[in-house]
Amino acid sequence: MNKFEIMIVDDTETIRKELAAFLEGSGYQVIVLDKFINVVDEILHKNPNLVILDINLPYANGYNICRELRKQADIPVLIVTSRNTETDELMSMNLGADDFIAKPYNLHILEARISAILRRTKKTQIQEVIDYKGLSLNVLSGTISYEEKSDILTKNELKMLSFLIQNQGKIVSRDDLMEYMWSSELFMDDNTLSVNMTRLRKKLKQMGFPETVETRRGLGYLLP
Amino acid sequence: MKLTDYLRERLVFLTVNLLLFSFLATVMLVLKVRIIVIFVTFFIWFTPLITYSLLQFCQQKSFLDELTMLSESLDQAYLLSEVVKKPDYLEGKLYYKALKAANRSMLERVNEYQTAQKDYREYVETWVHEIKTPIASAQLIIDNHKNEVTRGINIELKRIDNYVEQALYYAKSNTVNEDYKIRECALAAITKKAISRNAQDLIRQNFSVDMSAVEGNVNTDPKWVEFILNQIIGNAVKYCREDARKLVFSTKSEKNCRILTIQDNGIGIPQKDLAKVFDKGYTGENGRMFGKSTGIGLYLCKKLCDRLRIGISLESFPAKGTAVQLIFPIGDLNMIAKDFCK
Repeated sequence: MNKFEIMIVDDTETIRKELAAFLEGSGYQVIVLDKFINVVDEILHKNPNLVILDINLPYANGYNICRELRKQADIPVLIVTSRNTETDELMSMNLGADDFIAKPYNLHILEARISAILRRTKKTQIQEVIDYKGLSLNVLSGTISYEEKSDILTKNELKMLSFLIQNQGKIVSRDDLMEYMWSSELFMDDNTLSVNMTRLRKKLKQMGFPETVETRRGLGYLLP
Repeated sequence: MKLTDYLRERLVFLTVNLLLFSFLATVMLVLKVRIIVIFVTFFIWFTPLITYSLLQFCQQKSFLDELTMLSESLDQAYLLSEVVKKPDYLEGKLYYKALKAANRSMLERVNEYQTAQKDYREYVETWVHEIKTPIASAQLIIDNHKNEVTRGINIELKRIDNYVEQALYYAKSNTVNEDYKIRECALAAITKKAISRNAQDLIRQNFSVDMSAVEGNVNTDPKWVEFILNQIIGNAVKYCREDARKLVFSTKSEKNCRILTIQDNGIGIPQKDLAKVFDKGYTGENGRMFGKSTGIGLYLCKKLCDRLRIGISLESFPAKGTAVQLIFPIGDLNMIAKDFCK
């Protein structure tokens, strides 16, 4: 499957580097721009699936770039800015940006916004079924199936399982898992997490799935 | 200005004239001058004097009455010298000139301070936006390298971000410009954003957060309200109790308003401190005990709420918890607009 291409337009080197590392880790192909003279041409030339555009740029203001870009192409634009006011958000949207996010941002939230834009703008489905050792997890319908059996997951369980599969082979700390759940606006506490984990394990077991979520005491969870 | 006041003012002058005349009259009587001559002298002496006085009274009255009336009725009394009619007698002209000069110098002075304040505010805003970039960079580095150390740094970074935001809104709260945009927005969306911002603190403190009872739309600036909620959540995290920490958000609709309540089960606020929690720099017993309070958070909330026409009230019981209510008015105009759309 072709990877989605994301172009980062930001004049801060650290941000470019770290953001690129994260997005590549999440399975996107990243194009990084480090000269800002003809940004619009560069974008049109590379024709990415999405542009992450900073507003404060040398030579040209991000708003102008967005406006120019909109005249010539409908490449989705996610505007990133440190000016977190209604006026700025309204302006971004009026210039045809697809979304607006304020600095500093949480990477999970950024990724959720990115995939929402891609889902909206690309007719191609963003990976809706995740496979893990014969188990298939349908993110859109919230179902899991293994061999002949299938089951319905709650929103909590679905999010937990998909995060564990994304990080398979790594220990996921409780705090990380919680932060991920909270970034999806599921504000659960410690007990709820434990209860949901127990239910998830039970569902996996009932379907006869051989692997299970291991608990590493004091460290977190692990999906081998 | 009343005639009697004016005459009282001229009392000495008139008395001296009367005394001098009586002296002259006495001399004339002694010299056996005819009574009629004395009367004529009286008229020659006093007719111009009284006419002049009355004329002056009329001139002054029109200027001074206008001055008094304007100073009482004008919204900004200092604009008086701009509005008042220029008088047409010497004394008045001089007063008028002095008033103008004093006013001009005051306006220059006010302008100076206004410019300085605007300058400073713009600087704070620029500074805040500048510093957001390194904060964002640091945040990205931390997110990409998660471990116990960076998690600790991350929490401190969030605090820095909160303080920076506070400085920004403090600067905004003090200026005259309307720096917000009112639109219809869902309370649940704003609440979610505010909770997400505080996710790390709330998770670390093991708060149980419930916002399932938040519903409805209000007309306001969502960014400002998010900041206000952020401060309130920050307080709940700061002044929480040992165990079973809870934070419950709920809404209630009244006839003319919608009320968002934020209820925690923290240490509460002593009754004697309650009246002053919205005062600037007031830290109260809790602030002294915890030593982390600046007395700015709630003061700023109140100030921003006032600007947005949101009511804010606080109820608290020691060892039970605190509830903050934000009261969003539902204007008649909006209702009319909605009916109209139907």
